[in-house]
Amino acid sequence: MSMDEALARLREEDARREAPRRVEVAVLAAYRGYRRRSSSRWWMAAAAAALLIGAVLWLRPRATPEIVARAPDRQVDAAVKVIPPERSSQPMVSPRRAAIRRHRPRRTVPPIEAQFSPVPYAPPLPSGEIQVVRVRLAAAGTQFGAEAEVVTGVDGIVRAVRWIR
Amino acid sequence: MPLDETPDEILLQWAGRGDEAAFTELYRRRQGGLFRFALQMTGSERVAEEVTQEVFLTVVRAMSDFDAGRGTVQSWLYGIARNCVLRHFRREPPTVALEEAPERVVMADDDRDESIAAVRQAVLSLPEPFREAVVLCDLQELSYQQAAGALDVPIGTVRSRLSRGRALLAGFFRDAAMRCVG
Repeated sequence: MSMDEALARLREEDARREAPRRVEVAVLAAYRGYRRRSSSRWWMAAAAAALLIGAVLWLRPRATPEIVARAPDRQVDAAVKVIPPERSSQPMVSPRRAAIRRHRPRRTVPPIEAQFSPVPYAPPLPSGEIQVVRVRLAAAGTQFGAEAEVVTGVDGIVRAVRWIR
Repeated sequence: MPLDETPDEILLQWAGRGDEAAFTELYRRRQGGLFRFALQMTGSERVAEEVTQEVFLTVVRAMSDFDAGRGTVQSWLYGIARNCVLRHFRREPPTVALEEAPERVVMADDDRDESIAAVRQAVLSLPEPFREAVVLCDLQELSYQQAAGALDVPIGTVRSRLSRGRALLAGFFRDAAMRCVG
């Protein structure tokens, strides 16, 4: 018998041999288990992401609802949009620059009361709390508007105004 | 396209998306060859069984590792099987050495079983690199290119290892024939 014949015999003899059925059962069980685990992992990740998004939405600062007020010094109605007080809008400054800025002579800023113009014919301020509210006055039918800060009393009537923009 | 005509690469892709029928088809198509490869490399049915199972467990865990640019799914599977076999050899080093070459390789047709066992022993007595080449190319009938993909070596290396393995086998056959004549 030649070498080629011998190898052909061995090949022929082994041709019908294969892994027993239990291997297939074990492999398919592993496949199902892996798919289940990876799919549940996906769902857990999706649920965690949804929870995170929900938490972010819940914790973010809420926008103050729009209110409509009558501008006391105008004859036309104006939509007044109340804007929440600005947070620190100053850009980040390097420590060195901050030190330079500290040594720079300060510009003279007029006192706060001088920056507000009193609203003519407004009733006197009642005793109690006063509020400074930033508002955007939008002229009806236009996209243009002006931003201002107004001083109101507990009765909500504007007593003074300071134009921002 | 029926599953039994679907190429391995597509079956693997579908299996990766959770198609159990595709995975089962791939398993049934390839398990026999892998089992025989491990059997012819180790001579042990138990090890061949373990290797077949380990190959497909690796496939389950690492389907995305298959790179079609580096070869066929079949080569990839044989490559995994080869690594499993090598790991087995590291754990349990083979006991058959070249000096213990089979006594009787040339035999009459009437004792066919003995003859096949002797041929199997002759293959098992080859050093690993040559055995791999002989088993993949001569017994599993893989092309040189597929064998090169499975062994992760150039085609030229497969050719030279196969040639050397065949020469060693031919030597065993010659010696056995001489002993029979003597």
